Amino acid sequence: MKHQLSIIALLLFVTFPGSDLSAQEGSSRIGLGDYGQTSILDNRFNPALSFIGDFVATWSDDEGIEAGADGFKLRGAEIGLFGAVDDAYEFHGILFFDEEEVELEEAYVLATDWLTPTTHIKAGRFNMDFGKLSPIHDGELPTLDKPSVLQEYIGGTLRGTGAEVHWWSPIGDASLLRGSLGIFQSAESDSHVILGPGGGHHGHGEEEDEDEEGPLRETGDFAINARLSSLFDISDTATVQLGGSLLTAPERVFGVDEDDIQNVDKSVMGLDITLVSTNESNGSGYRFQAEALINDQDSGELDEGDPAVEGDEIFNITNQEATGFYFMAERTVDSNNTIGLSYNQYEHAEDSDEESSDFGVYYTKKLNEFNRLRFEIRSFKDLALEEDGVEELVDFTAVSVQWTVQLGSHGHGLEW
Amino acid sequence: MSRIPNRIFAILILVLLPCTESLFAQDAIRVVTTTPDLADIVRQVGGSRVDVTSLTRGSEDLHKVRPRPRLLNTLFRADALVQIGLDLEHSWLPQLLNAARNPKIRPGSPGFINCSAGIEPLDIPEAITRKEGPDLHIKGNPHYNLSPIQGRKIVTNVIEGLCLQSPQYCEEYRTRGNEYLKTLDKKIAEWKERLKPLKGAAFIEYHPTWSYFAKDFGLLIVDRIESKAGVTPQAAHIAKVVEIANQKNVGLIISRPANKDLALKVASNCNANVVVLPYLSSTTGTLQGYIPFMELVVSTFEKNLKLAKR
Repeated sequence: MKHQLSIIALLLFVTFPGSDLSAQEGSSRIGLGDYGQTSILDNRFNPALSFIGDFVATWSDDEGIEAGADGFKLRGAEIGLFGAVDDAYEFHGILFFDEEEVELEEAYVLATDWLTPTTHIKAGRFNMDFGKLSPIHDGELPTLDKPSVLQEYIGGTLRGTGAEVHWWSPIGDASLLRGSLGIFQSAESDSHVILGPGGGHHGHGEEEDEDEEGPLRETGDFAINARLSSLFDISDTATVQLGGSLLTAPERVFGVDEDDIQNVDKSVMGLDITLVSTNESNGSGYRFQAEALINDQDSGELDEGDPAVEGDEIFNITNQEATGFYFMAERTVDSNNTIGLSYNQYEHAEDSDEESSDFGVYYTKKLNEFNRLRFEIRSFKDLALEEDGVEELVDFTAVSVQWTVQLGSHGHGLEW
Repeated sequence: MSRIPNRIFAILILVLLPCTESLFAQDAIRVVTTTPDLADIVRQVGGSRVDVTSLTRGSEDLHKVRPRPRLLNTLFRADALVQIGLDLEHSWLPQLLNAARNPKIRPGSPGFINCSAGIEPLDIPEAITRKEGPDLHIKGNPHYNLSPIQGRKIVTNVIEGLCLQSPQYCEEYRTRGNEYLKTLDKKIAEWKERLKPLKGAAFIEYHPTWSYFAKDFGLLIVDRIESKAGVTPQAAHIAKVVEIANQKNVGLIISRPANKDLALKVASNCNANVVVLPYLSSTTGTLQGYIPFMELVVSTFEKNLKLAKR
């Protein structure tokens, strides 16, 4: 009994939460918590965290596939981790969650002192540097979705596992040249589109789910992207950017059989121009932005010929070149209110005789730095897969409300 | 052997001796400052030894500066960077420093001069949560440049920073800096004398800006129009500010140019004057220079608080 009481007393002493605190309070000792790591859970060397939540409500007058987008949707939540590994390396990781899946969107290391001071190497899985809006995450876009032309030709965002070299150089006092060159295992399309071709028009959504085994990769089968852009201040308030981007994504597939290896390549070239002007005393300003893309892609189809005749199978490869563009104009009335319009027009990637377009107006209300509401009305003239399985050219209008919240670390960097 | 060549040689040395300084002199060090106030002080201390550029012009809201090529190139070529600190430039400077990758001005290097070193910050928030305002400055109010007494600290930080940057000219920096401090001290004494009759006078500000100035001269900030840092006030908060202004008979509201409309809305209900005052000096016009800028600030308060007292 005596021992039991002693043990209980000891346990109470050890577990009583105030005992440790009261011993330090009022002490003249410098608190270890201020100057040294006292716990494996010390948070001071942990990475910076950010969170973006993106909620969308959409209503459209389309009775076909776009009707599926109607209603409320948690488009996604992103958790970002950023930190310095040491003085020469940084790590960035972004996890994406939606109502159905968890996805590692980006995880890469930046090596900052391997080459020149203004050159860095990015290695891992990340959004490729292609054009202006493609690398941006959905929650940071000026509109609800990536422009339709980007959805059609590159699936919205180009993502891959590989490495990119980034470099910039000042030219005079107020302009600079910036370039990047990357090599990737493959160029994957990825965006979380609500409306537009990436959301299911033209059958894109279905294709991405197909995962057929192909021939072994060879040297030269890698996807390569490059971007060159110049930025120049034309006044104390305005900056112009001109850019050009290129992607080549060769792919080898089996033709009629495993001995017949065929090349099915894709390349996309983009040109972009941006003009931004900001009144830095009140945050007002305007922005004009346009991108034009040329998509060149091969499509392979097996023609089984006459089943009665052996060896009558032919693997047909057809090449399609399609062009498209978008432009947008925004007026930021003050630091909290922005109105804008955007227009897309593009030939279809797989059939350049077909053309689609859409026009939208939007109003973005920043409730504050971390909390944003957007209202968008977009009118589409598009081929849509109707319920009967036939693609038809339809006109429809969609109204969307988007609510985006952000917690934690974020930055306002230079727009490369 | 003729001595003529030796004499010519000696004369040449004597003639050229004064030129040797310029032969071996280094170019002026390129100092970049985040604000025009700091640029002026660096010029006063560094003289011809420094080539100073301010990244901002003084008319900007320092939360709304857009990183752009001119700023990046200036930082890329800088030998030293002088900043206000206390997170005043946090929305754009860290990103630009990261992109510029100039090792001379990285935080912690001798070329990174943080003028908030040694400042005792005011308005440190008790609770660190965004509920206290999205623009909350967790290290305290960063507008210490509006206190001429804290301005002395800026000068001494600049002297020390430039000495670390180019120790060979340290004495020169100290001499010039001390001269400037003497001038500033005289002005502080004069400004204190002028504002002495107004001690205890109350005013309202839009955003937490004038705390250091009010402390220096014994003035009283009775309320702020902005309900929380970075939050546009709702009607209920404006009504509360009007009520306090009427209760305490406040006759002066100090606003920033961008918030003048809301300040006028409050003023129209409480018989107060609205004065728009910048919180930085300027790179152009009459507001150039730290002391001339502070002179304008003191004169504006003196004139308008006297008017409000009547």
